[in-house]
Amino acid sequence: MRFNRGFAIALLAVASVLTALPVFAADGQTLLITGEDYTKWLWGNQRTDGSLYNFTSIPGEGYGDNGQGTEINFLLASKPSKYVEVTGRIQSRFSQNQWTNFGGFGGRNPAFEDPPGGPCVGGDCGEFDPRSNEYIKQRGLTVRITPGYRFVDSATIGSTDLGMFDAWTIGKVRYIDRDNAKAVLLQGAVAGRKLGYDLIRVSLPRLWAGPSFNTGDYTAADGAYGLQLRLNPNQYFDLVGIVERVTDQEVDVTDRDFDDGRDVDFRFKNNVYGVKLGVHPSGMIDLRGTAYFSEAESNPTFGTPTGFGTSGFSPVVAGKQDDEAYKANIDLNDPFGVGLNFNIEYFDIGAAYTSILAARREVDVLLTEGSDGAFAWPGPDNSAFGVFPGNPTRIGYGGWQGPAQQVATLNVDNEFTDFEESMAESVIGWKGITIAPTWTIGDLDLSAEYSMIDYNTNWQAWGQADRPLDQSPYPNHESDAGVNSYRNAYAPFQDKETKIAVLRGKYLLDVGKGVEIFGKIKMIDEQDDRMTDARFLPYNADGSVRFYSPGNSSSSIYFAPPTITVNGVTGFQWKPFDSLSDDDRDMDYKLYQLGAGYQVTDNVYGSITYEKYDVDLQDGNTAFQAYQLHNMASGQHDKNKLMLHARYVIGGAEFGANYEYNWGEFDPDFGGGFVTQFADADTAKNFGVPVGSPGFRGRFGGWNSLITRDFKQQRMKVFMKVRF
Amino acid sequence: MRKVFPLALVLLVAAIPAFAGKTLFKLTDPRGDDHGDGNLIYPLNEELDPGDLDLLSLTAEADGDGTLFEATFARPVRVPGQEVIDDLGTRLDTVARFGFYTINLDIYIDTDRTPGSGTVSMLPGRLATIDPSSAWEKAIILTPRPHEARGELKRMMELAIKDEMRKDDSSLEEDQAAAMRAQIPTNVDERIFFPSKIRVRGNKISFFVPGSFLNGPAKDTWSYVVAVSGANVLQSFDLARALGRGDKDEALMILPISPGSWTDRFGGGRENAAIQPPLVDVVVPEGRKQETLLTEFNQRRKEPVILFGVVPKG
Repeated sequence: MRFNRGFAIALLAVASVLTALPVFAADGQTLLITGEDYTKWLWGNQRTDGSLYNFTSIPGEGYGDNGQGTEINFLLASKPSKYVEVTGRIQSRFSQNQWTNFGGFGGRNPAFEDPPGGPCVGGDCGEFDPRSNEYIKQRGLTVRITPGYRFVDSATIGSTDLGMFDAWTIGKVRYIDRDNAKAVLLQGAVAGRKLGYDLIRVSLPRLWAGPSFNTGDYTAADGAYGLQLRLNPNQYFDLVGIVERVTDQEVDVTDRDFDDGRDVDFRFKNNVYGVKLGVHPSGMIDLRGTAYFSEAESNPTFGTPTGFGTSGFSPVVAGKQDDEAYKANIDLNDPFGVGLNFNIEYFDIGAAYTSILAARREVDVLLTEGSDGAFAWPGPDNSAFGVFPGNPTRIGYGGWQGPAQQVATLNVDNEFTDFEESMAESVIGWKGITIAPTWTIGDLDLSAEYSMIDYNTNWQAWGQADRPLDQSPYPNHESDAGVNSYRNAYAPFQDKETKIAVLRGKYLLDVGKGVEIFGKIKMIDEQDDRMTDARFLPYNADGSVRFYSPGNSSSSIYFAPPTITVNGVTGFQWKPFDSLSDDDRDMDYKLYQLGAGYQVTDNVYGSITYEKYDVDLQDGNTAFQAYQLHNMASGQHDKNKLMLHARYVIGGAEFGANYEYNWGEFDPDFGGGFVTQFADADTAKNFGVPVGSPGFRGRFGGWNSLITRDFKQQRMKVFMKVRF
Repeated sequence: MRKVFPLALVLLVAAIPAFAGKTLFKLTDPRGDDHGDGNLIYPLNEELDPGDLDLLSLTAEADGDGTLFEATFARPVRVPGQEVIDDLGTRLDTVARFGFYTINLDIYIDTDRTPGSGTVSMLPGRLATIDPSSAWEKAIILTPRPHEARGELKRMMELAIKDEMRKDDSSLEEDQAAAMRAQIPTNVDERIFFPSKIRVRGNKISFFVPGSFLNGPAKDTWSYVVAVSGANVLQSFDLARALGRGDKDEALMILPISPGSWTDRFGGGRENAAIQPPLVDVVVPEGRKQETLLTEFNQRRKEPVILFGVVPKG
């Protein structure tokens, strides 16, 4: 066969053009500038417009499901000499830069208000707030030196995404923050390149990398050192060792002699040691094992938390802690010669395993699917602290899409995300095994998962029965109430076991260009007896306080109800906590998914997916009250998600659209033993329930409605990416 | 679990043999040679490790009138996860929908076995040519984003013709160029196939090539150039990774190679060797060494690496 001339010329020309191009900009002062335009349009019927992200939990930042906005991203690169290259990034941000700001002018100035410093939300501060005045900032600047020395490949100075280490120690920074970390990094290899190394000093992020999500007052000297050695003697074996040492230091307040300089003391320190072993004896079997040991210590001299109540917020356990994390994986590739493969994973992550720089999202450290993003926070509508006014759901009833990513940290980061992104969840304390077979029958691809998860956090009274319940070293964030709570790892009383089973299928229907049919069935069976020893019950049968150790009683959190009379009915305001079954949790969770995708043309792809969640949850009764802080979620949850997705690519531009319709019902079942109250006008206004509708008030006066809730949430995100 | 456990069902069906057609041929490649010219260094990140691109074998089986190819790698194929790939929160698994994202596998087939017949150019970014004795008529490009890759290739070829026209010494006339541009979609579709019926299982990727493309099943008498490279699935949409390094547009979804070590590309490249091919593993005929072939280019004279085909029934 001879080629026609056009094809040959075109292909040859494309290929030959390439050969003439340098892989990098030529030596000299050439500055390459490229750019990106990110634009998104958000619409949703929650009618929030606090910012151009669907979700954040950061106070004062704002979140929204409506608005239009644009980011500009300039990417710079130059190579001043053979040995030196410089890359940089200058970018504006979505933040509150709504198109409706009309350029980000005007607005209220919080500095001149009384009181000053009020939050800026939804762009209302215009040019007086950098989140709404369309400012452009330096996002990254990196110098990379390749000196040509035998044992040093490169020295990187400046921004880095830390992607050269691993998610359990120094984790890769999430995409939108990829240039935020600044470091000095040396990389190279010795022993005929059989032994590679990465040696880094990272400046510690003051925004989140320490107790209470900060690094204290004296921050500029805080840093982390990491050394990774990678031994690759042959294709059958590899070994990696990692050492990480983090120090958050403060000026020593006891040093009163200023004339000889100031001493420093640590506010927080964290050492992590890791070993990763890979054995690859053949294509049929692959073995990997990892082990990490962590030490962490907070110094209360500098205001770090010494303990938490039932809702503490901090990315690290208080006090001095050490713990381990282990993982072992076996991959069996078609061992029976019938196309059946197995992935098997064992994992055991200590309750106090701590690496403050571990990956916070956008990685998945475990094989299991874990939870689903549809259920993110305790309330039936994904709210937190929803029993108190002013705490509506943020991400909305629909939550996030898809299964959760698992991260080995309490410092989970789902901030500044939209609904079609993945939710991350903490796996601190998880231990168990996952077996995941995959198989093929003709054109049908099947994959499955079965996971049994036990917890290193199964304990009574935080595992320290000699101390009060409100002096736990464990920050439990939004608590373990509801269907799921993404950054909760601890509970005062826990005796939990989780089983996850998933069966997925994919079939290519031979119609047109091929219709991809996919679906899955997922079941989660979770039981948590929580309090299991009667000595922890708050009261004796005669009503007197029961102490589980001298001076300590669970009545501090489960105190007795007052007697009330409502419409002539007299009884307890909530059920007294008098039985070990009052806080029991039993979840029967089912997800059914069916979808289809079609590549309409090379440039256009579309898909439609329907998911049905059927969750029967018993999560304690009114004696438990979701730790008094959250909407109770005991009852029947019927949630439906219809998702449409389309993508269009043209040259260097890409358009996409995600539409989601969520509807469903929550039918509460909080048990009996209390007197039903009825919503007054204020309650109705604060919680969006009808006046006179039934409910009950909890220990702190929070309102839990007893009516069946009907949900309907629509939302859409359309985006455009253009390179220039 | 109180419900019927689906794993039992899966294990039960394991007893049923998988569907398998007649083996047409099998090409094998040494284990542990996923190092290009011997000095290639995998990117220093968590997304690629030595062995990931190490091709062990390529099998072809008859499947109806088409061919089911199966590539076996030394390590389990990496499955795209929920990693975010842009400032808009786009997830990797939504763009790399076929279950893999790190591998390109190019197969250039000389079906007529007539020296000089066909073309010797490989796809953009491969930076290698094929010896005229194995000049190809058909190419199969397994890549994580086949539809986008095909569209991108067509666009690049159209641009190439335009560029050719702009040259002072071009012999192309306007009408000729227009005709050539019009022919590109058909020519690409007839000569280059981007599989989209793909299955990833453990360390294997199988992909179907219809008989309409190869005019029947693949033959063991044809000559095959097989090359593995790292896939850059984000090329078209993520300049942040390319960071303006001049490789943003000119290569078809392939990770480049540079001197030193890198997190976003292969390292170990030669200094001042812009035409060094970023090919990681190549199937070579008996008597030739991959490490030698991939070093045989001349930057000054712009003479690229030349690859040779392998005839299964040779």
